[in-house]
Amino acid sequence: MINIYCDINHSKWRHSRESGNPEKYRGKILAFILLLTSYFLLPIYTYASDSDKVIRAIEVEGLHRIDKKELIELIDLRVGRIFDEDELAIGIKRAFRKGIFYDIQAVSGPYDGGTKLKYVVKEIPLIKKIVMDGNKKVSVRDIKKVIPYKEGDDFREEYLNKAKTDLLNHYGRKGFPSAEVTISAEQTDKPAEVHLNIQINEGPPLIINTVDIAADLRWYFKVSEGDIFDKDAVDLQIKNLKEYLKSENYFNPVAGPYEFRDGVLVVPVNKGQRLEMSFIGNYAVSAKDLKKEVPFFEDGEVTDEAVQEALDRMKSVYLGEGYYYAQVAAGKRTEDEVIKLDFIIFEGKKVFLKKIEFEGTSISSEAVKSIIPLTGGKPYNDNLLAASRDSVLRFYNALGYIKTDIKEIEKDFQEDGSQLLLKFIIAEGPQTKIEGIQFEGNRDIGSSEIENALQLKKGSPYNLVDIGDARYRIISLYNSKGYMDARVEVESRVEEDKAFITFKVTENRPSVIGKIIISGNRQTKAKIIEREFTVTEGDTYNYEDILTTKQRLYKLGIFNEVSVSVLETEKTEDGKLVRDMLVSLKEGNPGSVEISLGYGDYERFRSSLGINYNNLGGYHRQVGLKGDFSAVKERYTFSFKEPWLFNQRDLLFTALLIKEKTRSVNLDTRDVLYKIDRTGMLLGIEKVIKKEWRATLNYEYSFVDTKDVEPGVILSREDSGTIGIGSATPSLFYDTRDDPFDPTRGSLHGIVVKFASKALLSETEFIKGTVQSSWFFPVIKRVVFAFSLRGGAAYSYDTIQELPLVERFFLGGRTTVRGYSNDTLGPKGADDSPTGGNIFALGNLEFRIALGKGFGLVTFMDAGNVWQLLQDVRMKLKYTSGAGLRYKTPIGPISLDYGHKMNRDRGETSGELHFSFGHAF
Amino acid sequence: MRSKKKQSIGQRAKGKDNFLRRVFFLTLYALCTLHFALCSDSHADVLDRIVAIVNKEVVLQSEYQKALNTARKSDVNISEARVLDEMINRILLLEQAKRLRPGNSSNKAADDDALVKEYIEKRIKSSIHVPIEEIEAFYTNNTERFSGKEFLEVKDEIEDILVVGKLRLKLLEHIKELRDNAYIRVRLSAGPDLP
Repeated sequence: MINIYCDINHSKWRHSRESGNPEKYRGKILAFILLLTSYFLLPIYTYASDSDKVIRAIEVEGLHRIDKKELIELIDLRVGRIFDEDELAIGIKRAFRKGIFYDIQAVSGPYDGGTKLKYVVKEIPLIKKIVMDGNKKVSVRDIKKVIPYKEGDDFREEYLNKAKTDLLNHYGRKGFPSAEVTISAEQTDKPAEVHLNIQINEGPPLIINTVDIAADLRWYFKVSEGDIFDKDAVDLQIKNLKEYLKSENYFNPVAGPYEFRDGVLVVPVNKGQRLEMSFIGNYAVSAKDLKKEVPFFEDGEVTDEAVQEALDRMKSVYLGEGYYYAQVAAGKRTEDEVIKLDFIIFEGKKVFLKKIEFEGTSISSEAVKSIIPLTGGKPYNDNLLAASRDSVLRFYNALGYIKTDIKEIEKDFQEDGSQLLLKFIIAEGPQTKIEGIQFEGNRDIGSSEIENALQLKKGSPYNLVDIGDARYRIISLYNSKGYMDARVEVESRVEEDKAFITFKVTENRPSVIGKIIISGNRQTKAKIIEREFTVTEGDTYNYEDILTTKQRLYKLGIFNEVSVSVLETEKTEDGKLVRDMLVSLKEGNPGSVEISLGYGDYERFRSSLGINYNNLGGYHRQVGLKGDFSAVKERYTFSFKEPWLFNQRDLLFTALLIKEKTRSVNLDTRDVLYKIDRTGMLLGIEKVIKKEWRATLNYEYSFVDTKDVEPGVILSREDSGTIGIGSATPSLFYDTRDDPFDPTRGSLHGIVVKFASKALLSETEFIKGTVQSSWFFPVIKRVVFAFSLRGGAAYSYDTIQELPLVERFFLGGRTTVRGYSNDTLGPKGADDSPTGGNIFALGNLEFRIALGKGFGLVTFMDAGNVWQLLQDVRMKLKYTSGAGLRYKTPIGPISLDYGHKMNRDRGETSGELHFSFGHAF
Repeated sequence: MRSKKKQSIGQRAKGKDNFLRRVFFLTLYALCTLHFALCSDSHADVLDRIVAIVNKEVVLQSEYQKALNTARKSDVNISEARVLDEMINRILLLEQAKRLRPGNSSNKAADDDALVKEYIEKRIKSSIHVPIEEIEAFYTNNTERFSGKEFLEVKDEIEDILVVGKLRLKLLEHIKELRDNAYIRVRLSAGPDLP
């Protein structure tokens, strides 16, 4: 450029001198050229300077599977920062870990006095659908098993040849050697998504015209003339044939290799020698059980070594049964193609272990006995003697007796040898105790903090297992503070009965979390995953936090697999290693179908069918449609749930549409007391406050049509006909139960208040509250004491004090007062039908006894009653007592209870039997 | 003469004007070309990209270029494909080495090299056994090479020679096995788009 400038000046100078043209004209041109030069050169100069490296803008091209922001975050080059090629390389590698890119290209160009970066990505497409055509004899399912592609998976073109080869091989095995396969990917109308098209021309199959096999075995070879020559089927038949021959005592049959030519399948079979075994003298152990101990059929030969092995195993079986004196011998002879083996057994007396004694021990004999596998009073199993000896030594070592020796184990046979007194003669030696614990190499964590975590104290018995655990605790302590590379070595010095332990710590540098890379989320949005994280960029690595994050992700119910790995160090900041964290996920099927069947005494057979989808739009929103059916209820529910309303943790929003038909029946006569048809909707929010507290607020509007009401049940004008009830229901629960289905400890307390008002579009107005307090205490092992108090009161603002039938309280039945049938307690109408009431009180008391193997026994006492109005409360409580059986299932126990009325009225039955699911409370 | 001279000066001046005009337009053209070459997005520089995917690792163009430059310092004829192949092989071996020695947190190339070396030593070299007969045969067939030295004097040297030969073969075999079971995608230049 300088040359051009000089040349122009030179020409101008010459021109002005020689031509004498006005300077003004040439000056204008020169000025214009200079201006132009400056204009064009300025950006060039700027680009060559440092300031051009400032990133002014970042663009992304070709990205469809994730948000642009996520990619920019992962590459981590920010607008305003100076471009660094090493950081770019790290960023591209990091973004690649997402597992969705074939290529990430970074290009740059000058922009606004700096640089504009553009990331041009090539994504790995997803397989939307696998479309097959032409397969007639091989099923779609089989083909899908063979090829390395699945619907919903990444489409990697590199596997196309493998897929084709695998499929052709499969067709070859299935009898279609001339099959032709074409596999191609076709872009759908969405970017980064393909359909995989598989075109198959199966060609003519190979047909078996003749099966050439020994005539006596033809029956057992289930391949017929006319079948397609399917190698898998032929292999299976050959395997079955061998099994059959072995069952016929041919210990080494040879079948195959088969040949197939011109429609003829030739299967050569050599049965080999036959083995005949006989057992003489066995009374305590059957011949069938002894045959299981011979290795000839696995080995395929009857060698002397194999016979000896069989004898040893048989003797071991006898020793296990207490036949200490048992002897087993074998005689072998060969006749033609038959090997004959005669096992001669002398069982001898059965020996019982009368007593186990320990000599030379200062520790309680009972304590030592409890840790050995031999048990007094039972048949003596000599096979367990060595294991018992090892157990004793390990026990002593654990207590610091590192020099303990078992001098001898004396066997004293008594009462004609049928009783054994076993005596362990022990030389305990001194007990070694830890005299000193030291730490070396710890700089960032103080010795006192390590000592607190150690759970190993001066004066404790010297025990390598405890010391190993202590070492692990120190490593865990360091790991919890981000020292992921911390190493701990243990040095022990034993002087007489004193041990000195030194834990040598190599701390290495702590690690902090760099970028968090999420991979494997094909449908679920990144932010849905990120909001479950308990760690963030810059946090110190802590395994417990990572574990919590994993648990939270599993709890979503979206992922089948969640793994967290810490990637290699990329950089160091403030002396700490910055390491990216890779969260690898595998999504499960978000859809589910739920079917249940059951039986209850009141509902009779009941069933439910539900279809749920729990990851709507990738936002973990849940929708479901469920139908519940029984003799007394038909209910359809459509539900929608948003677990993070307003992006707030643990704020659940629920919307329900309900259509329900209920019949209240007399349990004995099955007469219908009334019918209620309800169509309603419910909008609710639920907030978990801390761990145990839960608050809900629901708004519900229902059209309730009460019909076919027994005249005696009618208390108010709203007890028949259609009424619209709009209500708001706030509630608060405190729940510390260990298991909501089958609690053994903790308590549940709750208060629920329901307001129905014209302001809420209700045609009736009332307030109704219920309270509950249930407690569960483990009394002794396997016995839980449970009691519950429940109560409720309602007040109507309408002209009639009674609430509409659908809102009134009823008691009686399997979850309330079990001596009475469903909803039959309390005030009665003119025809003695239960009317329900505005007030109720209920108390239950239970002892729940676990019997083992899932069975349980319950004894209970219930007390309660319903009163029409507050002034009627003077009416006495009804008491019932009874017992029941439980059988545990994953959704709570199956229950069978009998409740006996303790203060029954004239004409009432003595009690009621209830069969249902779940506890009463 | 004067008028002729004047005319000639005038013609020369006109010629100079044309020259200046040509210079002006040429300069303008050159500057425009340079400007658009440097400033236009359509000719943006490729800073980096993925040239190979090896299971869960990648080779970037910057890494590959660096390796190529280094390799060509010692062998100017070395092919691009060979350099990339060696990088892929190293990634595969390193992956195996890390699988056997988890917890290595460093990403320093020197540490990785040490890890690969250790892996080859322990996993491959340790399984190589050279029978004494083979050493003897080598000695017999190469007597001139050992210039009349006794067998026992050169036994260790021969063993080392044979081990190196066997190691090379075993390593090639091992790498082939690793490559057969690996997902490898190479795009030295930006390839065609996917269907």
